Amino acid sequence: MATLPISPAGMEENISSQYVLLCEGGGDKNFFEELIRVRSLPSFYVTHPRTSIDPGGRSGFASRLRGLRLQHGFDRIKGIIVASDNDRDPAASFKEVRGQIHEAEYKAPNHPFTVSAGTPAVSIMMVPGAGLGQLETLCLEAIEDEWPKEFACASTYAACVGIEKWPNVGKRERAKLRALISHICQKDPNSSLSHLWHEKRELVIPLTHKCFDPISAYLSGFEAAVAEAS
Amino acid sequence: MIESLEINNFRGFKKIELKKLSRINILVGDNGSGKTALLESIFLTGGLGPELYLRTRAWRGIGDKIQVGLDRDQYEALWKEIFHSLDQNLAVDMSFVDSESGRRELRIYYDASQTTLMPLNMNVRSSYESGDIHPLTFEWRSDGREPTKLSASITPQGVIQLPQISDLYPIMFLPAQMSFPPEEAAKRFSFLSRRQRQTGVLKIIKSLFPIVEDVSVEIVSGTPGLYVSVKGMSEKMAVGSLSGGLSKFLTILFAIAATPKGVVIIDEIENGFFYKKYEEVWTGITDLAEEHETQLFVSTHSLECLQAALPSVSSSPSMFTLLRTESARSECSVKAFSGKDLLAGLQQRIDFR
Repeated sequence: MATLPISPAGMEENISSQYVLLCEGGGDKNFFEELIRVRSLPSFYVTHPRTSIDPGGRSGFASRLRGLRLQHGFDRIKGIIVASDNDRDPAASFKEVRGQIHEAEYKAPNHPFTVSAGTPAVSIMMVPGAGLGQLETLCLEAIEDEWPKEFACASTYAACVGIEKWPNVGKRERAKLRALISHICQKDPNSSLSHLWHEKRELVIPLTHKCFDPISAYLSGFEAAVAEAS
Repeated sequence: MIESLEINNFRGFKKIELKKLSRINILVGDNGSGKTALLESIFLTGGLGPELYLRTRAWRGIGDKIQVGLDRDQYEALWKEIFHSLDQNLAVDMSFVDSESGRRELRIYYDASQTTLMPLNMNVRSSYESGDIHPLTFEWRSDGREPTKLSASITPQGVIQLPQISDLYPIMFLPAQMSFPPEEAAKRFSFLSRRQRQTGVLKIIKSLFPIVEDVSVEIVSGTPGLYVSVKGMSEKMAVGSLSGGLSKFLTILFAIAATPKGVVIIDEIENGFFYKKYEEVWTGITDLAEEHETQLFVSTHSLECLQAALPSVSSSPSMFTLLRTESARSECSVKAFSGKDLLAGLQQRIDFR
């Protein structure tokens, strides 16, 4: 797994791999780094926009992509994957990511999971794939199989307190996941999804679950896809 | 404003070409990667004469005393470091394009058409020491002007003659360890004051050093110097005795204001300033450079200093270019990044030095 070199001042320094995975936030970064480690996937330099100085998430992609150019090791980069959530409108989310890539003056692909020929090549990975949702959607799917009793209880709880009636499905999923983590993660019920991966907490979400297979397959095949596109 | 720059066979640079330079060009890079050489190339191409190169040697700490023996080896050793890979057979060629005055070129070479005959020396043991000395020649060419050619000739007595040209591009070089005598600071302030252009400088000074109420030239012990009126003090104080940072900031601001439509080169800008003042230093020099249409080349090693530029870069990214010198296997290169990329690098807290 690629390790991120951090300067004494806590700033991003060298790009440690020929392939970059740009995701929306720190939690996603930890997830992808752990997925790569657990599944022994090819090395990626995983990074995300700095949320403290810009809006973060998708809207911070352009700034982060521009910032990449300044980092030592940029010339070695062959391909960049920009990973983003579909949320409630996959087409609109994809369009926004494309816009961010254009704004940063990179060549954006026309469709998700395709690679634009360029130096570096760029691809957009929409999560959880073709359907609505986000990374939490996959996490809940994995928990449902690993912790079926707890999952059923959390579903009852969500219905009981009215979470299931929230209009925003993304927020519904986050609330449910939050409740499940607090219940399962006895060592630290306050543990966030971000730290779940990072600090080797209880195995709440099994990264070997089949729902993560498409992401793993895409990351595994990215090098070949870049070679084919160029 | 210099829009592009080309360097061939100069110091660590075999060949580089820089385009899209901006009003403010921030220069970063490791030790020995060619930062100072890049700044020197601009200064030399701007012109003054071979004397200028010897001055840059002194700034680099090589020394300001030059003794040349009466042989070719020692004469050429003086200039050797100008040439890429110390190969003195290839001429140095540098040029820049100014948005108004056009192209300006400088070629540095040993002029075989000129020869200084040296007295017979019976002690010479090697073939290289003997032989005629061909003077190092600086040849400038500018759009619409006759070429100017000057040589660092040497007399049979071993005296180097360093002529100066009159066709100068307006450039001021403020070296890392700058120290200017009080009379020079006074002269610059007087220059601005006579033209009533000191107001902008004073405004910026007061924002960075609020205790300063006014600046004036005073003569003490027969020597003119720069003095400041300080809040709560009954008498004016010499700038240098009040604060080294204030003295440096004044020097920079005077240089910018006194070089309209020209270039001011500031090597290691962070030296002498308290870190909390960096942001206002950037704001001050940016505003003044814009007001006087002065182009800046500013080098720094300091991450804090770079981060402090964020508000200035953010307010007008197109005014900035980031240049980073890099060195690999004794070859230096320069990468240029747009102001938008620089802004992103600062926002994303990237250590891009």
